[in-house]
Amino acid sequence: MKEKAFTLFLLALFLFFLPLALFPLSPLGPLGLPPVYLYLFGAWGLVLLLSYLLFRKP
Amino acid sequence: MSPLFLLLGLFLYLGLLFLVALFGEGRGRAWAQSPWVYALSLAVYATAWTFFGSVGRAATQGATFLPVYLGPTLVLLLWPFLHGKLLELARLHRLTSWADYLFLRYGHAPLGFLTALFLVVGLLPYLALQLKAIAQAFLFLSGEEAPLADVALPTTLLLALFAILFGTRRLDPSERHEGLVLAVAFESVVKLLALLLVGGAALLALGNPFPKAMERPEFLPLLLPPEGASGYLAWVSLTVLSGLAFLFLPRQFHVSVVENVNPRHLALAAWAFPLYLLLINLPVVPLALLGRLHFPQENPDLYVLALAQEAGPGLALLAFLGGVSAATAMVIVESLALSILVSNHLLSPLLLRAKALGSLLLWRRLSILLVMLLAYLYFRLAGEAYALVGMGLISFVAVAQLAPAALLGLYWKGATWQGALAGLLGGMLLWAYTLFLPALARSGWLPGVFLEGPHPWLRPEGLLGLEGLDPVTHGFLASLLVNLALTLGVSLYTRREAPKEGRTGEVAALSALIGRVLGPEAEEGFQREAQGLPGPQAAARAEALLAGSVGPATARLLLLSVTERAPSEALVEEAARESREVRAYARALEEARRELAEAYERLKAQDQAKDELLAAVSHELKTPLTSVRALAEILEAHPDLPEEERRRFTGLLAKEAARLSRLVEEVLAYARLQAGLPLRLEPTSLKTLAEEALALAKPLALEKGVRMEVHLEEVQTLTDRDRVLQVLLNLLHNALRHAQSRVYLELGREGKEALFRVRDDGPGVPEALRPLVFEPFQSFAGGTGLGLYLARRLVESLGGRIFLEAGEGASFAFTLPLEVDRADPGGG
Amino acid sequence: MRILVVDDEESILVPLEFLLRKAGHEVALAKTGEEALGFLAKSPFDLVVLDLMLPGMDGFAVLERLPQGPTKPKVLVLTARGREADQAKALALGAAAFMAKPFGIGDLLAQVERLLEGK
Repeated sequence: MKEKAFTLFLLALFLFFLPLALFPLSPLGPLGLPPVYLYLFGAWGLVLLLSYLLFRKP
Repeated sequence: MSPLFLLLGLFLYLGLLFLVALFGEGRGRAWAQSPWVYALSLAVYATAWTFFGSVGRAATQGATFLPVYLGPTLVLLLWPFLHGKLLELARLHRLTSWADYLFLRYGHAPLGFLTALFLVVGLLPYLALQLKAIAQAFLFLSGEEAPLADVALPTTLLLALFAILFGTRRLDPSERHEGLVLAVAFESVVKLLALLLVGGAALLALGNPFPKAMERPEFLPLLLPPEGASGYLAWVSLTVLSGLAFLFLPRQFHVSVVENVNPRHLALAAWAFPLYLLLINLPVVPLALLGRLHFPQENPDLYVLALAQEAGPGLALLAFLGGVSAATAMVIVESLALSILVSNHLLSPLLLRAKALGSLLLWRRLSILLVMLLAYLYFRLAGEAYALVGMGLISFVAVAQLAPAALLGLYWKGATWQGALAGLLGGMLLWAYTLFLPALARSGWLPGVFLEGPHPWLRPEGLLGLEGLDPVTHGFLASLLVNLALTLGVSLYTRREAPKEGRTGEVAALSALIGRVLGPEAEEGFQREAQGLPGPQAAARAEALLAGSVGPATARLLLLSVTERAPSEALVEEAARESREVRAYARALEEARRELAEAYERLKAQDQAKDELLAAVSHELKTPLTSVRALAEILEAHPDLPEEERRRFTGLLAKEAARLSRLVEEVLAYARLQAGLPLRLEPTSLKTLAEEALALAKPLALEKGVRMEVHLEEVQTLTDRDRVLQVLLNLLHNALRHAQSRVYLELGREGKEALFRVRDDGPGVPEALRPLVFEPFQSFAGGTGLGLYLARRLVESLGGRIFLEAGEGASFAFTLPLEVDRADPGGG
Repeated sequence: MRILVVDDEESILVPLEFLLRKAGHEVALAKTGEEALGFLAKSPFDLVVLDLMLPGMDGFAVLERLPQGPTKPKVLVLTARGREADQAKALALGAAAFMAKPFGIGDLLAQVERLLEGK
């Protein structure tokens, strides 16, 4: 489990530190919401889901 | 809203909080110990900064409000490596703070002192911001122009009171405070609900802000990712910074480590707490945009309240209470944690010297008050110039200075106290220079030189002429890099100290000491714990117990009086290990010796058996040899013997000669058995074999005048002919020797075996001899003593059994296994 | 002379009886220790040729229970057991001589004559 936790950590690190400024993002995105926030909250939610699945039954 | 109404609401809310805490100490204890409450208590991380400040930041600086919450998420993912390990250490050594840990790891009292002092100073901005938030909110909602200070002071005192009431019941802070934890969890729920409701209500009342925001160019930076290299660097730094802060903030250490009831709760908190953070951040961006749209002139930190007010007075009160929740939770726990630091690391050694240790609890309460007043002071001095989040971030950087010493201490054996001290000092200095002092200068309390620096290269907010970084990122990077470098560098150049000498002491003396310092309850508890523990362990336990309450340095000093030097732990370990090895070796040696002795005994027995056999055989040989020799000599010496006598003698001679040869045969057979000659299995008709044996025994039967009666079935099997024949002959000869008139031979099938039975009507075997009849050398009535023993060995080697049947006369029987006849349809 | 021969083996008794009878002695045969003692109780003997290995009561026991006094016969111990300990024990118990099996008949007769000379 420790290895999986570390892998998840690395994944989260990658997702959170992605240099979003390098992407051609516009203020308007799907659902009428800014893509930057959609991405951030989405990635965050994904990481949490994965951690829930991982740490459910240690 | 009338100020009175607000005040009433405030007091009622605090009263409710009080009740919740009482409930947690009493019947709600089980609640307070649940994993969900634990996860919620971690949410004390979200303070008025989160409640008011995030919206303010999002409205001015866009997405950069978010990394503060991503950091803790990342750190919790590593909980098996970090928090898990911390919990173990804390449990073992009754750690109450990071300062305790640093003292434990590096053993140098000044380190704990310095850490405690630095943390108190470093956290003042953070505490101050909570006071500012409450005061601001109060003033905004009540519409008054009164100076902030007037409201902040009573709030400060009230919160100090709350912290004293619920955090300092007992001297040992490593004991749980269920009431406090439950109250904090309750406040976490309140602030989350409040912000979500305010967000929802504002959206309902004012509509979706996004479309409008996207039309306005000045809003663009809020809706796009942070720009440029400096923006990215700030993003990354803030994430790392907040991760470290989450780990090192005294209040976080307190709720996650000290108040932890069950380490397994961490697994839940690892995802539940970040989920909380995600939820509480959902309304931030909409609220920020709405605020900018509708209240462009207002202080962005007040957008939450302004928008709530738009939605209705009830919501405004809710928003106010939400903010109060957020602020009070932080203040209570943080001041408690700081007071423990102050009392254990700053005051305790002084009190010990003044022999006033008994009043430690009082001093701890006083330090809560002191810390709160200092926070108020800072608020007065520097509170105006900064936005809420800015103030908080300064504290974050201060707290992060513990990271190199602590993390390297956890994972690197090479970290020395000199390195830790150097790093800490360096980091503190840089923090003060780049962040703390400029903040004071900005508020006008220090001369401007602290903002500009004596030299362009020493500009506090841009060292080495660096431009373009915001002060926080710059201060963070500068201080932490220097800190890390010094910690690593100095550690590498200094040698690790020899492990500290252990102390050892008598349980009686130790518990007396504990009774004196911690009270009779603790003394009893310790006596129970330390029952039967060896000296060094009892002393270590006592030290841990004391350290939790009076600080590790004082505990060590106290212990000096009732313990004596124990051989160095390392040496004791070595000695114990060596003696263990020696003992294991001795045991192995003993084993080997025993085995050798047994083998020797076995060999001797076998040798003896061989000797006995030889003796028995030679003995058996002598008698027939004697008679053969005598008879032969007589016959030779008396050629004119009468015919009758002559016949008699020659008959006797022949008989004895035959006996001799039979004996030799048997001995040879025995020798063959001993040599383990292999069986020669071939399909045999047992009936034919029996008939052959009968034929061979016939002469003896005729001579003895014994009639042979047979009853033979046709039985086929796979076996060694010669051996079976030998057994049959053996038994037949025995029977014939002992029979009076009849010998019966039977052969039949019995289940899966062939059964032979040889019966004679002689006197039989006496009861006493029955169990021995198959043993070697039990000769009686003219046998060799080997015959039946041989028969048994032979039968057993063929896979059968031989036995003497019960009853009159002598009825010997033996079995042979039958091969399963493959042609047999029914199976064996 | 009256000689009592005690041995459980027929094949020993027969040649011994023949030889001793041929030498002119009166010979009685016993197959067990009890039988031998029975004979000795009834009438005196001059010599007992005694095998040590007897069923039931062994030769040593017979030696011990010999009738004492002037009618005590001399004892020649015959046995397949040739161990020194047995020799010593037999002699200690009062045997006059000791012969190990197998023996030559000539030797036996000589020994018997020697023992009877004393009488």
